[in-house]
Amino acid sequence: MKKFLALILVLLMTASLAACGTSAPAASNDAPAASNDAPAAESGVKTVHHKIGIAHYVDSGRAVDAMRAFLKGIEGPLDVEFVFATLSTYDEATNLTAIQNLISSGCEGILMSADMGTPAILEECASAGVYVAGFLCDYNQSYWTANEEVFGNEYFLGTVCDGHADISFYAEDVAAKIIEGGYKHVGVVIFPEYAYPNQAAASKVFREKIDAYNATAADADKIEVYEDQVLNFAPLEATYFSTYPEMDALFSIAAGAGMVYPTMVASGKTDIPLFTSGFEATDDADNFGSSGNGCFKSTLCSTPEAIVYPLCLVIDKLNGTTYADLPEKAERVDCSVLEIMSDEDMAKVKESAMYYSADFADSFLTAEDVINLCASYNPNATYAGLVDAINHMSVADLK
Amino acid sequence: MGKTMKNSSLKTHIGDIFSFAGLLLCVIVFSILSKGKLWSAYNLGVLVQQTCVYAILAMGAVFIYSMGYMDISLGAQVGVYCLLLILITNASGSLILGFVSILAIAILCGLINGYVSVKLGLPSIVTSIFLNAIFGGAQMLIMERLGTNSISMDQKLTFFKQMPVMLAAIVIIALISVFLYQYTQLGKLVKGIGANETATSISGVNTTKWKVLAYVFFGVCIAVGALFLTARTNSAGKGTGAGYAMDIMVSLLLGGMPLSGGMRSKISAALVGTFTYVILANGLILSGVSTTLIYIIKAIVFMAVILMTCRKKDGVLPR
Amino acid sequence: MAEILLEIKKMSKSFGPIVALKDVDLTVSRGEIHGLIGENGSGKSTITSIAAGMQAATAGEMFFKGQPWKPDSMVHAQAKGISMILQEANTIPNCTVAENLFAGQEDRFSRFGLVNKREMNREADALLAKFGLEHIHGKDVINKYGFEDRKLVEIARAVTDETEILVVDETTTALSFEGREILYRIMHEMAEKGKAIIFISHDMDEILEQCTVLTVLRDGEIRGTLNREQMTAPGAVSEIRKLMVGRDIGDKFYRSDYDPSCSGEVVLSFEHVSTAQIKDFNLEIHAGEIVGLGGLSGCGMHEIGRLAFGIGDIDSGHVRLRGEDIKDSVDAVGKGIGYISKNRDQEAVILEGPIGVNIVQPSLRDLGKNIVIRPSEEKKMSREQIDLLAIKCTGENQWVNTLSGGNKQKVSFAKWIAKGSNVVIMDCPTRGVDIGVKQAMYQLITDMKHEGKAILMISEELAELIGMADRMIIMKDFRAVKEFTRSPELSETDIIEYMI
Repeated sequence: MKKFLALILVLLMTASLAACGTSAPAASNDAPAASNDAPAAESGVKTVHHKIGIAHYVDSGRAVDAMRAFLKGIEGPLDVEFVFATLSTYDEATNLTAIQNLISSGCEGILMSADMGTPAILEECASAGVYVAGFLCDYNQSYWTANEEVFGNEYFLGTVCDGHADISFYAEDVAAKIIEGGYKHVGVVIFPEYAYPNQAAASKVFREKIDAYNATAADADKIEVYEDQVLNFAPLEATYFSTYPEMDALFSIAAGAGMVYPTMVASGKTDIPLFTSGFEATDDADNFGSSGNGCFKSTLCSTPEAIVYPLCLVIDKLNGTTYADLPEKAERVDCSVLEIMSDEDMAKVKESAMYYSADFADSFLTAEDVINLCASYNPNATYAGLVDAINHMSVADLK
Repeated sequence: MGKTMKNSSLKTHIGDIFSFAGLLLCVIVFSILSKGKLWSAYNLGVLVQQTCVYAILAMGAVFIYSMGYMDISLGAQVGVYCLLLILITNASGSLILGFVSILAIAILCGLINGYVSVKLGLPSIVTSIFLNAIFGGAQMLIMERLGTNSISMDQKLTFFKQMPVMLAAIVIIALISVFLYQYTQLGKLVKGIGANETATSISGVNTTKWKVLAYVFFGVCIAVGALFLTARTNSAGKGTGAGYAMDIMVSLLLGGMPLSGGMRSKISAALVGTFTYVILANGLILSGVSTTLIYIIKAIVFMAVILMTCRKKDGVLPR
Repeated sequence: MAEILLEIKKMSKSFGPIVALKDVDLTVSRGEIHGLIGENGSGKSTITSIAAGMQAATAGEMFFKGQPWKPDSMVHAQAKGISMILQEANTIPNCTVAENLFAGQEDRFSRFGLVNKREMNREADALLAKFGLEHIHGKDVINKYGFEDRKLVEIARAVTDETEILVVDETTTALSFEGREILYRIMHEMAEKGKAIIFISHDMDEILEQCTVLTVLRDGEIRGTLNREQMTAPGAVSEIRKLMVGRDIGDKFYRSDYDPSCSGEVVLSFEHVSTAQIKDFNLEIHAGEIVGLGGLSGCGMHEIGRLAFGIGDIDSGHVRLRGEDIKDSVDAVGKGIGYISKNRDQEAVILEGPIGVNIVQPSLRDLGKNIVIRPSEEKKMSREQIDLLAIKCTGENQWVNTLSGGNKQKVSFAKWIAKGSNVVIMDCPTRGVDIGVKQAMYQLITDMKHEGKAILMISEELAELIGMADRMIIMKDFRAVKEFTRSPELSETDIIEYMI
């Protein structure tokens, strides 16, 4: 009986695996190099088949759905097969294992969204001749501690940040909102400085802005900003609200929807307006501005389409053609953010941002646009053009 | 009464064959589905590298699981040892000093794990929960003090990253484990303790002493495992070792180790199990299975292998 | 002739190639106490377990009250009137006595899904009182009671108004003198009411005293059926033994000599030993002497055995081996003491393990003197013992849990013979062992004595002590009350008065 059950399970698994195999991208024959009769893109450009690994630190959620939808939309015309793996944001060995498995499965290039164990991973990739580029990740750890080893590495092609490396602009915008809204007691929540130095910097900018206002404001109108509450990647503690009972606004530079909002709900403090980042398009979309309980007043996220930056760099490298203006050393570049400050912004995002709909039709870029961004498929493409493209994906750019 | 006389030695052999059957099943299925990529020279190297640490840890853990005990502090211990190895080696410039230090701590923790649970009459899982908390806290504290997510070693441990060296390490630890398990009192008595602690103690065995020694050997394996883990990435961080306790437990199960310990325990479970576990994860990616399906398929394979390996329903569950 | 309650016709049962029962015919009539006797593996329990619904027969028919009888479970059989009390403990731990008694019948006491505990406890007390078990209370957690009382609770649970046939399967070995008396009383009361008892026991005296009909089995076949007259006829015992064993085992059952002499050397000594219960206990055991320790099961004799092995706390006094204090069991084994526990399956052997591993275990420290233990030496040691004690097995790799009770007991003896222990403490060494093996063990114990070993034999069977011991100490309420020296004139009746 038991052996029989085991047999059934095995059959079931083999069948399901076989099914997965066939439903994988059409071009799954294993010749990685140039294939002459590869399906030509609509534009008539001859594309070359490549297999590229996408190693992401999350494997579910709205942002992941949107990114997958985008990649699915471009994989046919671009003639790229994507293989997915999950990374860890805190364990080097897990990441090395994931990358090794991707290389074994035949990936020629790998896009990674976590900077953990990167030097060892690059060493591995260099010996296997596989190119690596980053997305949705500012590679702070490597940038500050192993810059030459990583950014100077021939096999590391650069990274696009999760929005802007420097988010002072958002701190300024939120400060303006706080002043405008007449709030008097404001809390600030950030992630530890070693992991997110830009958040500590943003907090500083925010305070400077408020201080400047306080210098001219009447005593009664002065705004008090509480000291930074550092979250160790764990949800905010409920005691925070009892420590500051007078708080009437909260600026969580650290991901508010995941780390702060649940605590507010649990403590019945959703009446405190929350300005935050890390838009998840779940509770934060439902309770934004005038909808729901209206707790969320502003939020921020980067767009999945920004993945074209590392993708184009890797494809060009694999095809052996590069931009004439490609910088000598790998860069980390900013991309547009969806900065949602009002009901109108939110309506626009819900209406036409792929981040929200996970529908390729809403993408900022068509498959053809992506092909045209690659130097190997479009002789006129430039690096400046690529960087420019990923910086035109803000709320204002939404159709 | 009137019970049949079963040829138990034959039964034992069938069990051995079936524990290999799980590994064999994974190898065959993934050889086909990955279209041979499983066997590429690069992937074989990767498999050895990925198995090495798990195998070393699992062989130490067999001595604990044989007694019907469990240890969940493994992952946190590995994490702290990796960090300390890097910190001490960087500070002193001597890898030997670094390794000897973590070895000493590991042995000390083995003593604590063994003695405390015996002397306070606590189930060993309780002491290991306690150690897990201590080590987890220490790992967080060290990383917070350092104010970083990851630290790396100044000198490169490339020697320990080579495939022949890793293979040699697996073989040497395996030989030592098999020797201790088959040819010394330690192995025979941990099995005896797992099968019937009272009877073993009434046979005049100082169970405390052997329990502690088992934990000490486990500690040595953890220290060696930590060395090889550090060598893989030359770095360690907050999450190093996270989840290893569960990985090892699952590996041992896949290898046919009864969680209740006792006479059916065997060292081969560690090797077969960790290879199966690594090939399972590796093969699924190589076969192009989407990440969303991987968990489900892992669960199915896990069930299938367990059903094939474990013959008695009362033989797998811990007491 | 009384009405036939249960009729078994041509029943066969096989487990794979092994035949446990061959064409057995058996009838049980109202008012009978029907004894079943035979060596381990002769098929006694197989018959009753089929009749009580625990397993199905391979072939044959059964009729219960004239109707074809095919019970599909023990619960079904019990509801229809065949209840069974087993040898092993069968109560549910961590529940109250009442919950155990009424397991599966909670509906009787529940209203709107809530169980009325008080009513249940009251009814439980009433039920217990009916069986004369006033000392057990329904509201207490069952764990509070010892093995014997739990067994009595099981009896109370098994016997209901509907019960027509009660199967008592080697239950009495677990019971003390008083417990047995209670069980016998229940059996006879039932028989008088026109019900029937099937009584399985190894204890010949018990069978002869209690049964009205006796069926002897050997190798799955019925070898003879005796009525009351035949059972009480002179020479019946040796006749029955012959039927059971298949050969004449003669009178050489126990030791044949009556020479209580031994060496003057004191090996094991208790000097003014006091514990929480035992007060000032003194005993000296000499080399080559068998000292018997007898009494009722709660008299403290088992505790003395454990103390001699270094288990348990001593408040004052000394337990010494050749003048040296025994610190703990590790020390005891080091000093050459062996201990065969009364709880064989829990303490004396590793059931889930090979025979060889069990035999070698106490000797591992000697074999491992130079760290390495050679498998060949282990094998040699186990093989020697298997041959010496004639343990029936396929080899040293066979697991102990597949052995019969007698062979399991041989394994627990073999451990200490292999170790070469000079002092062996045996607590109920022949419990649950059939006659053939018993005889072999008595021979073995006699041989051990002649080799100069000191033996402390603790037993609840007086006949065994009378038959084997050089000196007998009778205990009562944790004190030694009487000492007897080996003599052919000694009888059980002489002794019993000191026990109660």
